[in-house]
Amino acid sequence: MKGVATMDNKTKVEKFSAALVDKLFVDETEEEQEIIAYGLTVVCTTIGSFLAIIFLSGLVGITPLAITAAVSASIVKLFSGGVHAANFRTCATISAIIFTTIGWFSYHADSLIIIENNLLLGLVFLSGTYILYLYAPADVEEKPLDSVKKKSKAKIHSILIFSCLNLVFLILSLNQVASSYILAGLLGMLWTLFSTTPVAYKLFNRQYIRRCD
Amino acid sequence: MKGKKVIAKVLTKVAHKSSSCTSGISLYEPKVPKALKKDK
Repeated sequence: MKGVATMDNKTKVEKFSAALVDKLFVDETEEEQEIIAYGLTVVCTTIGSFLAIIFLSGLVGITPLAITAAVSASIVKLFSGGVHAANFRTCATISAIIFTTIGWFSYHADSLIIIENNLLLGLVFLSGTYILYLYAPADVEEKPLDSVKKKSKAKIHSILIFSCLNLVFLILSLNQVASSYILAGLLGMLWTLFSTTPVAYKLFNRQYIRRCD
Repeated sequence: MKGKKVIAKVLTKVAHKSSSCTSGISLYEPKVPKALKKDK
């Protein structure tokens, strides 16, 4: 059998992607199939995680808040990195639980004074920038960043993106957008920041890769 | 087929982009294939 589907030690979603690519893209070379299968795995796991979040948060009736938290967290994570679950099932389950909880909390806690006067925004900005300065980019075993230049670039980008998101939330807050959405976004980002720390790696039982710079 | 080519192109682009950024959006990170490690 030709192609990527023959490779061992793959997760179910990777096997599914490889098998699908083997069937659909017969004319491509093995190397191209491998790349397409990886792309398909990334798409499938992302869609799967978001569907899990939509499903669970839908049961509680706070889907928009959970999605706000998930999207904010994802944008920061693209640059800051952070801990990952060992397999897709754990990933989807944890994502659904975490972001639904954030959404639920934001829905019920939006009237707290700390949110109304933007104190939380300031606190998140200061603590977040410090955490990113200390730990970003947080590597994962599956995709380590081996160049110091790339690492420092990712650190700067993560702090910039984080600052931009904070600014967006400040503008939204000043424009009287519902504070539950601001809170959901801030808590989503806080979750990503936490995921870059060694404590999160220990909690997920993953290897923390020390920075070499 | 044209549709297949477009899908292949999009997925290849996703793979290249994803392998060069720090992390995927989801909490699960598939192993980067050897073919993509050549990019780095």
